[in-house]
Amino acid sequence: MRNEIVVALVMFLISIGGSVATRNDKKWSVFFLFLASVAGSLAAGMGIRFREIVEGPFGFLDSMLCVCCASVLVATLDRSGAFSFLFDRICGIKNRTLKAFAVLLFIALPAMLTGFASSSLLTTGQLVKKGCYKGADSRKMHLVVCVGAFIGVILPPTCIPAMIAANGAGSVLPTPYAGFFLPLLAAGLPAFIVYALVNRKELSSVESGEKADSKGALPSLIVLTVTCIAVIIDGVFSNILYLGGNTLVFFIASLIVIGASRGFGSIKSTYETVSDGVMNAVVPMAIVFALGSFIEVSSMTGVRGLYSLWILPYDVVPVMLVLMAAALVIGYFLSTPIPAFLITYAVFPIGWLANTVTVTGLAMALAVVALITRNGGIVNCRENSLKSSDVLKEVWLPVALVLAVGVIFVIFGDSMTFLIR
Amino acid sequence: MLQIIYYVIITVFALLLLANVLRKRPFTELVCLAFVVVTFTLRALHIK
Repeated sequence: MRNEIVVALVMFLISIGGSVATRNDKKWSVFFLFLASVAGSLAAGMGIRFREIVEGPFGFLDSMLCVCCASVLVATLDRSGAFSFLFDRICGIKNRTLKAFAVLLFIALPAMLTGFASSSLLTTGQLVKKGCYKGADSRKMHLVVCVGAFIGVILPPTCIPAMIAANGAGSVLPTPYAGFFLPLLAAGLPAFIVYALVNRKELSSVESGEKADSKGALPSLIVLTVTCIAVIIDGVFSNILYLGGNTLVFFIASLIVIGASRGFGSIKSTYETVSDGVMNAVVPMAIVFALGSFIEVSSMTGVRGLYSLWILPYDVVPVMLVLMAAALVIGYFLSTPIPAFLITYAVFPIGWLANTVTVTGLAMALAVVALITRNGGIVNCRENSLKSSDVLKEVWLPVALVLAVGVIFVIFGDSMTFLIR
Repeated sequence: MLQIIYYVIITVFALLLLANVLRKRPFTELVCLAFVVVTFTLRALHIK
C-alpha cells in the first residue's frame, strides 16, 4: 500500500473514531483533528512537525480575526440592549408578512455578522423564543430559530463554510475571503424568503415581553445600522470605496458601542462583555484552525498530491459534485471535520482559477452539514429531546433550496462571474 | 497604518484569551482555547 494512503487512513480513522466516540460533539472535534494531524505527520515518518501544524491555522487567521471582531460586536450590541430594543420595534409591525420577514432577519442578523450559528442562538434567538405566545409549540419555535441561524450563516458578509472552501482554492497559501458578498446573498435569499413565508404564522406571532429601554440602546442601534451600510459598501462597492475591511469596521463599531454605552457601567463590565464575545467565537475558530492543521499535514505528507493524480482523468465539475454529495452523506453521520476537508479538496481542482461563485456553491454543502448533523448539528437534538427525523422534516425545504443554488453555482459558476464584486 | 491596527486587534484578543486560559474550564474547551491562543499569540509575536 502506498505510504500516502496509509497516512490518509490514519488521519481519517482518528477523526472518524473521534466523531463516533463523542457522538459528534463539536468541542471534541478540535482535539481529534489535532491528534489526526500529529498522527499523520508521525505516520509519514516526519516526526511532530510543529511548523506545519501551526502554519495551517495561519491560512485562516485573517478570516477568523474578522469572525472574532464580529462576535465582540454582537456581544456589545446584546449587552447595550440594542437587540431588545430592535425586537421591541419589530414586534410592533402590524403587517404579518412583513413582520415574519423582519423576525427571521432579526434571528439571522448575529450569525450573518459572525458566520457561526450559536451567536444567533445565544442572542436574538433567545429573545424570539421568549417572545412566543403562551401555548406555542416550543420545539417548533426552537427549530424555526435554528433554521434562522442557519440562514444567517449563509447570508453575507461572513460565512465560515465559504471561508473554509476559499482556503482550499489557495492550497497552502492564505486566500483572501473577498468577493463572496453577492454569491452568498444569492445562495441564502431563496431559502430566507420561502422559509419566512412558509412559517409566517409562527414568526409573526411573537410578542415583545417587556418594554425595552431606548435611552442606551438607540445609539447602539445607530452604530449597527452604520455597520451594516459599511459592510454592504465593503461587499459590493469595495473596488470604488475601500473602508479597510470588515475586521476594522467591526472593531471600530465595537469600540463606539462601548463608548456610547459608557462602558456598560464599569471597566469590569466592559472586560466581561468583550471577553464573552471572544469566548463565544473560540469553538468555531478552533475547529477552523484545527482543520487548517489537518489540511496542511495532508498536503505536506503527499495525500493531496495523490488525490490530484486520481482526479486528473476526470472533468472538474463531476469531481466537485461527487465530493459535495460525499460531504453531505458523511457529514450527516460524522459531523463537519471530514466534510470540511472534502470541500477544500473539491475546490482544489479549480485552484487559482477558482471563482467565488463556484466556491460558494461548494461551501453550501458544508453549511448544510452544520445544520443536519445527527446529534451535533445546529439543532442540538440531545439538549432538546428531538429526533433527527423530525429535524429533517422541518428543515428539508431551506436545505433543498440552499443545495439547489449550490449545485447551480458549481455547474454554471463560470457564467455567473457578474456576481463577483 | 492598517497593519498596525490589525496587530493591536490581535494582541488585545491574544491577551484576553490568555486571561481566559487561567480560569477553570472543561478539557475540551481548554483544547479549543489553547489552539486559538497559540495561533493568535504566534501571529501577535510575528513568529512562524
